Amino acid sequence: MFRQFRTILLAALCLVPFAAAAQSPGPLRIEITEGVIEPLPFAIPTFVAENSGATDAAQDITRVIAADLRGTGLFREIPPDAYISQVTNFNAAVQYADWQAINAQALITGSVELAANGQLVVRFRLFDVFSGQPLGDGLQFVGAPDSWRRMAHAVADQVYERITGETGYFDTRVAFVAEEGPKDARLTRLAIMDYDGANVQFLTGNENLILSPRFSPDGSTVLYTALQDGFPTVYYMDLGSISTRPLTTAEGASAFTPRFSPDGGRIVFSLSEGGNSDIYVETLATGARSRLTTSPSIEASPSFSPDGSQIVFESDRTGTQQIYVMDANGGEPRRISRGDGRYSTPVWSPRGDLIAFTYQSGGRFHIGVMRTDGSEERLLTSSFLDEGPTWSPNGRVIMFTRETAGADGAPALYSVDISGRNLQRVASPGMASDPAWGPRQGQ
Amino acid sequence: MTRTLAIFAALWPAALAAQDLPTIAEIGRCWNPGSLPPAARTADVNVSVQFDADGRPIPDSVAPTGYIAPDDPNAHFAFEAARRAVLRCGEDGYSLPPGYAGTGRPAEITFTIPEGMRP
Repeated sequence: MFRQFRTILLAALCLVPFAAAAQSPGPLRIEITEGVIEPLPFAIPTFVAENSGATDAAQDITRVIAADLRGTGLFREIPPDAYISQVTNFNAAVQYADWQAINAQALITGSVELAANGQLVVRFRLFDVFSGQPLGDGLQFVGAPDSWRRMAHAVADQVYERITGETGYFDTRVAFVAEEGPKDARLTRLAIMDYDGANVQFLTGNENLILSPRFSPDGSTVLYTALQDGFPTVYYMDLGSISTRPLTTAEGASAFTPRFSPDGGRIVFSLSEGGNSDIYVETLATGARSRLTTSPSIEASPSFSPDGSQIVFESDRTGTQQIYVMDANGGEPRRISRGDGRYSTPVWSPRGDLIAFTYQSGGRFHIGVMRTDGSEERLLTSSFLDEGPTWSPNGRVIMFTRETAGADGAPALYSVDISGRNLQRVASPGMASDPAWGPRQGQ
Repeated sequence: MTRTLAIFAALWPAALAAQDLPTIAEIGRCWNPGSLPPAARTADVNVSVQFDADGRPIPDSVAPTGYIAPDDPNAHFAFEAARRAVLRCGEDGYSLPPGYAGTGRPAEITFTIPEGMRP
């Protein structure tokens, strides 16, 4: 009723200036309060191969860019067979009317050349079709031919940024736990892949149970937990050399759920000694370690705020798992979760405005987000088992583990936009769990 | 909504109602704030636009005249979404009241993000 009233009121508001327009030279004033949310249609003709050695790369790069953009849910690719214009010369003038006719709002053109020095050269331009002008300057990327996927992701990042105003997340990698074998005898390995499931590398053997990989802010190191002889131990893995070293703990103590500080200079983790776990922080340069909580309950899954000033973590100090925030130097934690169920695995968003979490209630698991004071809680997913959220570097998308029910139940990686839209399975080899989204490469 | 448009059409000058062009008040169907960053989806922007003799918006005339936004970058992206809406819906021209097509007299359009589209 209110909506109808508002629409009529708007119509009336629009009519007043129309009626007055004939007499007055003033501007026509319109107020628009209804819009649509729909993927933005784009066209991306196959990039022009500048020489025969670039033909396959031109096609492959074009398809990866299109897949990146489609996968966001914010863009819709117009099928190439609908194109009126064909782009056979990267420098030819754009026939805007042809692209307007098929309702393409953005046009991406490009070329690929295998240069004489063996390098692949990728050029692209982005056009705002209805404005009839380029959207930013053309750009060129140069790299080894086997880095063509990264160059495609870099182009897609540029397109995404120029249209949405947000940093792209396509040239990124995801660390995760690769799983194999039956449910009661699962073998796990630490693995890493591009965000879209390509270029999988297995980083460890499957002798130990691997848990909770976490990237360093610069993407050079992964922290993970390995269960050795029944005790969890935190390891650092240098991704350049694939070498590991353990986090030192006292005999009989167990460290788990580690995470880097935003500047990479500290790690925060849970340490269990004598059956009680608390949150600790360690300065990597000096090895100095501080205990931040002193509760007889289980405190786990700490995560820094992006400015490094606060830490969010889970605790069962009130009898059920809830989410708490405290200063990064310790102090009295304040509970921010308010629901009746169990909250766990909180992760602070890169933007600093939200905390993602796992929520369990009524036999269902959910991935949700809330403001950092616990307000405006929203559940984004619901299933038999959803857990372990990790943020895309731009804070727009959350990846998590979804496991199906039953004896044949298997984990897989999924992602969802923070609006709750665009839930989709992330490509991965076989079973996968516990994703950690890394930073954009080359930054 | 259909009934509202019918009322609208009934009150519209007869010569214009006969045209098969969108009214400028129908820009909302081309306004897509969905791909904007969350902060830009809190921005309200005002744009000014002039029309050629066929009622088509003149691309270079679409200009921001004011905004309420968290910062300039987010206002910029909100404005871009508004500009795309003005140009896209007016591709074939708008049905305008007398005195606006080809005269340089502008329309000033306020785009206010509906509550349901805010982050």
